[in-house]
Amino acid sequence: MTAPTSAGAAAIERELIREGLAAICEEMAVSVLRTSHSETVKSAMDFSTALCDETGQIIAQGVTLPNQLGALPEAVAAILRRFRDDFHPGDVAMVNDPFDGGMHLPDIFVVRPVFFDSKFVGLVATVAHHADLGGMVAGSMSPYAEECFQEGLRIPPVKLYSRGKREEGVFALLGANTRVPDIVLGDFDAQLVACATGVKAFDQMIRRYGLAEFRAHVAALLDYTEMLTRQEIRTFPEGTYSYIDYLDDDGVRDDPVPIAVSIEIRDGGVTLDFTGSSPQVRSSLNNTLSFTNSNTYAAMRTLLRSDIPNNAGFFRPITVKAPRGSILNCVLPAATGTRGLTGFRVMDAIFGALAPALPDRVMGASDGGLSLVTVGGVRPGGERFSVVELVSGAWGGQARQDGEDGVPNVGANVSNIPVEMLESSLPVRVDHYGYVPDTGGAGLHRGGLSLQREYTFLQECDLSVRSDRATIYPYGIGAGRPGTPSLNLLGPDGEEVVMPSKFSQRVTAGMRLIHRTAGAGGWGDPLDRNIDSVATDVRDGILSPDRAFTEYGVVLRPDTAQVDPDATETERTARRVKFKEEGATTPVTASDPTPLEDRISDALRRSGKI
Amino acid sequence: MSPSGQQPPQESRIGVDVGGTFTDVVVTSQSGDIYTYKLLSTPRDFSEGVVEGIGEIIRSHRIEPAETRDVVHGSTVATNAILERKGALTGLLTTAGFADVLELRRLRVPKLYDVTWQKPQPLVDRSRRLEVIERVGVDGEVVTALDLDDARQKVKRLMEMGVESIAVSLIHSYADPSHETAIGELLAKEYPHVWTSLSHRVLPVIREYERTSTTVLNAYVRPVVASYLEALRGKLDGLDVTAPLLIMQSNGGVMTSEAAAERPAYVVESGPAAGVIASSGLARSLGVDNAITFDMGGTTAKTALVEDGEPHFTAEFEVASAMSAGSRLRSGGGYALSVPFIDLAEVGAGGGSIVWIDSAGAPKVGPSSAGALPGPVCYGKGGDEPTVTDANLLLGYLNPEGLLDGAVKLDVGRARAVFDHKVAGPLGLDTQVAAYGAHLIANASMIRAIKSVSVQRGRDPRDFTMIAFGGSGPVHAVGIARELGIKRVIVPPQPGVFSAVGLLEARLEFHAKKTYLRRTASLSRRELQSEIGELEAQAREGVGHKKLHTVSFEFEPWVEMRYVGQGFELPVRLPPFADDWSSWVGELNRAFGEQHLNTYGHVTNNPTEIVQLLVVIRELNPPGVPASNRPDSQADGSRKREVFFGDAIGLLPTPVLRRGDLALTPADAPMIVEDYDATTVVPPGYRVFRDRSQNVIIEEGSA
Repeated sequence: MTAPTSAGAAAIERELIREGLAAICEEMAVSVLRTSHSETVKSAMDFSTALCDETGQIIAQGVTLPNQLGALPEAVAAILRRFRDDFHPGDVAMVNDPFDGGMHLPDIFVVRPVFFDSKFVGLVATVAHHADLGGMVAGSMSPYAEECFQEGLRIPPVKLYSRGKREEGVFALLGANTRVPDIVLGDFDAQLVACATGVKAFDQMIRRYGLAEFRAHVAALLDYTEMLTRQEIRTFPEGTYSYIDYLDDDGVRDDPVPIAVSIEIRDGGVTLDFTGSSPQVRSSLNNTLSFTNSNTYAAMRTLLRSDIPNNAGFFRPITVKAPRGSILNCVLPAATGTRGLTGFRVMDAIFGALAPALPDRVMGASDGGLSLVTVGGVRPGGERFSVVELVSGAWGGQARQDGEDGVPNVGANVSNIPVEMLESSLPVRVDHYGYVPDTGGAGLHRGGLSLQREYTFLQECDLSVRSDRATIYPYGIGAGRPGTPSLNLLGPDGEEVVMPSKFSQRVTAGMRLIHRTAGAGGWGDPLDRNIDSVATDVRDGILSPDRAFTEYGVVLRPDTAQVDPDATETERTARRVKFKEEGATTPVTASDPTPLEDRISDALRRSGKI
Repeated sequence: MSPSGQQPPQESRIGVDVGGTFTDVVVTSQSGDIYTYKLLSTPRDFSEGVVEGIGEIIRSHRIEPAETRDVVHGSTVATNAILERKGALTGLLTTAGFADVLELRRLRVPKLYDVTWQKPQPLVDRSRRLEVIERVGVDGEVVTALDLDDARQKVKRLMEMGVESIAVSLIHSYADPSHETAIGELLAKEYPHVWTSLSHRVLPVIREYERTSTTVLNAYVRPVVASYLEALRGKLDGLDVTAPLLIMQSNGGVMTSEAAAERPAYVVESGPAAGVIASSGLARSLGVDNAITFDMGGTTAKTALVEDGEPHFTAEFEVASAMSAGSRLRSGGGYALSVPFIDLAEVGAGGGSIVWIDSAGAPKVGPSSAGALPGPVCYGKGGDEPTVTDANLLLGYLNPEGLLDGAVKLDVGRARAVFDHKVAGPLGLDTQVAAYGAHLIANASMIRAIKSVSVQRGRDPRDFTMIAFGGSGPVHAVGIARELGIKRVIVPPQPGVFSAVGLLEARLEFHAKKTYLRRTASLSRRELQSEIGELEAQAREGVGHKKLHTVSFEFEPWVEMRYVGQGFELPVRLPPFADDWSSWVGELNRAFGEQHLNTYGHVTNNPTEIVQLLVVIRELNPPGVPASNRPDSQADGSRKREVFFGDAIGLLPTPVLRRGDLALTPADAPMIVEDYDATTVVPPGYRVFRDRSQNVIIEEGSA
């Protein structure tokens, strides 16, 4: 390989390096996927892989879980702080401490240094969500934890291997602090195998170019990434944009929890300031700053359309500020277990703020983030069971298309668990899994529908539900209507009662849980919606003729359920005239979160219980 | 391919591979000769091209049609029906509460951060997905009895909507199919003309979305495939070709046309399988234990692993996915089809892939393609976007006089002008340096695909031989092999129609699978043996054995098992039943442990369970394909042209040979070997020779 002689030749090499680095991260990711044991890693792909240079800058990342990707720099920095001068070939380090590089206890980073000609040249890193690390509840994510000390094992930067020698004591400590040692230690093996894969491939790549040339290409790759990012941000209208979205509550008290953001777009850069967000809460919904960073990067990436490489160059134009001690930059002893939900809301707040700036890219708010339904217990024979179901979701309407129905939140690209598989591993029967008609916000492009999953418990179980958007609805964009609320009903068959969005309870055989996700927000004026699209939704049974009329001004002939185009036009014109006479305007912004008062009554009305 | 001398004169055989652009016909004659013929496909009715091709070849080579052993057919009819949404108007009956499973899928989307992604439209609209009151539990127990009146009403509603084909997929029907069977009987009795696909007949396997989607795909393409096969049968009879018509499946085996009409889900996406089967046959005949197949055409490149002469299988496949196949990281783009597939990776890199410069100045290749029309700039058919083929031409890799022996003229001047304007100019590079860059970037995505089937499955490509074919495969093969440390590349004769040859290598084969959830420790010998016996019967039926009296078969029983609590299973060949049951169970657990060790790197003493039973039926002593005829050589064996091999090597005057000119003893590269339908490019550092079966063999090192 000769040294690049021109910018063009360097561009070709840079492209080859980019492809090569991405391939290594993908190799590591597949390695984790292939060898891991837990459902969270396998089905939900709740893990990530990365390569870093010797300063800890990310030079490539595997594309697995969006909301996790941006948190690696903090973890690697913490490990470098501790071991920078004490790293040797054959070392492997780990960390999960939310207050020293981690995010929440189940996410454990496993990092291995790379040496070339006995010189420390970089790191390979993996992070995986582990099945259990002790604490109050199976899975180590109790919404009720008030302090991190209740949540499980907190691991500062510690070595798993020293110069190739396995630290048996550390593994024993890990095994002793989990309810499911086989699964957790199996997933550690998966991370270790992936790191070994990464180190080998990383070494081959440096060997091929020589260290100096490799570094030059990597530097160029990061610069190229930054340039691509800035170039696109420059096409955004400059200005300052703000929005406040809310979590329904913190799971302990009823008050909504504000997530506020003010975003300044200037000179190809973006500064996001989360001042005004709630102080940290006395439940486990607190974000570390690293996780807030990660949510922010994921949101910004969603808005950018270029094919931007995954590396630190992308982070450079983006600045995140969150006050210490707030829910988005929590301090000891905050609990962080269920902060995933807060992360989804950070993304919603960012999208909401940028709606006026980028109306053609921002969609109505989505389902609000996946719900966690955890079912655990002991079978009559003494065998333990515990499964976390991730229930999602829907996307909001957009400038050019309806919101997709039945998709995961953009922050977490997870799969569902097949009903038949679930029933083979849990004493539960699923009676229903499908769309809920007349949900989602109306719009020129409607929001995606609520999903409903109904369970009958076949024996005594511990049930825990973490959901949201029951009282604060997903916003719509412009004249697009807000989405529709989530709902939990629990009780004996036919006597179910409304439950809060977050709860834990012991349930007995024969009880039923009905969990409904929120419907997503609409985009643009429902009166402008194509009549055929309305008719199709009616034909498909996801929109009632009543709602076709009230929301869309579409008149259906009662006998045939066909659209009456003339009557529809008359109705729509009348409404537009009335709207104009009232002097109302609809700026293209995200709608205000729905006020609290409507909450229970509305949920009840929609569930058909009143 | 088996050497021709070893077998007595055999019956002639016909293979026909129908692709989107070309129909390839291969005939082996009774004297052991092999003939090929290529013609344009006839998309309006693909069977016309098939019959025209067969007619032409049997006339010109005096093949006696009535004495043909079989006609083996690979067809895109089912795939096209799905891609173009031209299947039957289909209805779906599900268990009450589960009509949306088909559309909810597994939720996961194939691409992160892209909210403009749109889910493929379900093949059955919600209005034609009706629920029936019934419910079977996880152990096959009836929770809610089937309400037949309700079912009858729902069927009536579907018929009123004009559906031609009905899929029935009920929860846990693999555990107790009686409700599906009852609905099937109702349909057969009251609506005998409607096509019916019952999920426990198509795929009696756990996971409701995958089973439902597969059953719906089956229902959707069934009338199309059945009428196509019926028409083709009639036309073959008209040619006096009365031999059985065998259809390629996605697992690389063949089944009778009658069996294919019953379960067309098994023949969807069979196109890529034939090339892998041809490679398997080649690998077996040459004694190559480990091979990587590399098949590059105009729009995509495909790659698969062949170990000990056999490909790997997977049941995780999606039809009509725009994303790369073969990576679990990007699932969710298409319609799940869980029948057995040859495990391969496909990337959108082909000769027609467009070379372009992004807004920040980075050179890119694909994913958009100039396709067959307008095609590369050099074809002169109106293409004005530079492609990989244009780059290859400018590098001297392709014959500037034209392709297909001059039948396709190439416009070098125009290719250069456009490439300079859109690629080399903006990069500030010489034409050839930029073209070489584009060639390498195209290689990079194919290297990633090859890694996804090798390195990502724990295999080291350096231990493998590459078998390269397809129109563009041999142009890129050696460069890619070098990057991966692959030391040997084989280019079979007629690389452009190699897939069609694979049809004649294929064996009659069927994989009958059934979910059977049992703890290994509590397996009952009697029950297990009877289940396997039943699966053997289903496998016979699946392959369509009734039409094949003279063929003898072997059976292979497998289980898919896991440690209790794991989410994924591993296939294990069942040990022969022993008298001592507990030692047999121990043997099975040991075999699983070994498989687990190979895959995951460790074993435990945890209890295990069986999830699926599988019986593979396979033809014994398949006829195979005779060796190729001597390829053509050219009088002017001393042709040379200037070929660019990158900055480090530069421009070299390179000998250009026809395959027939190539010596049986190694000669040093650089070298270009031209076939009628493909070009093999060998940079310096390799030795090249022709073996007695007419393969081009390229090995690292000098002669």
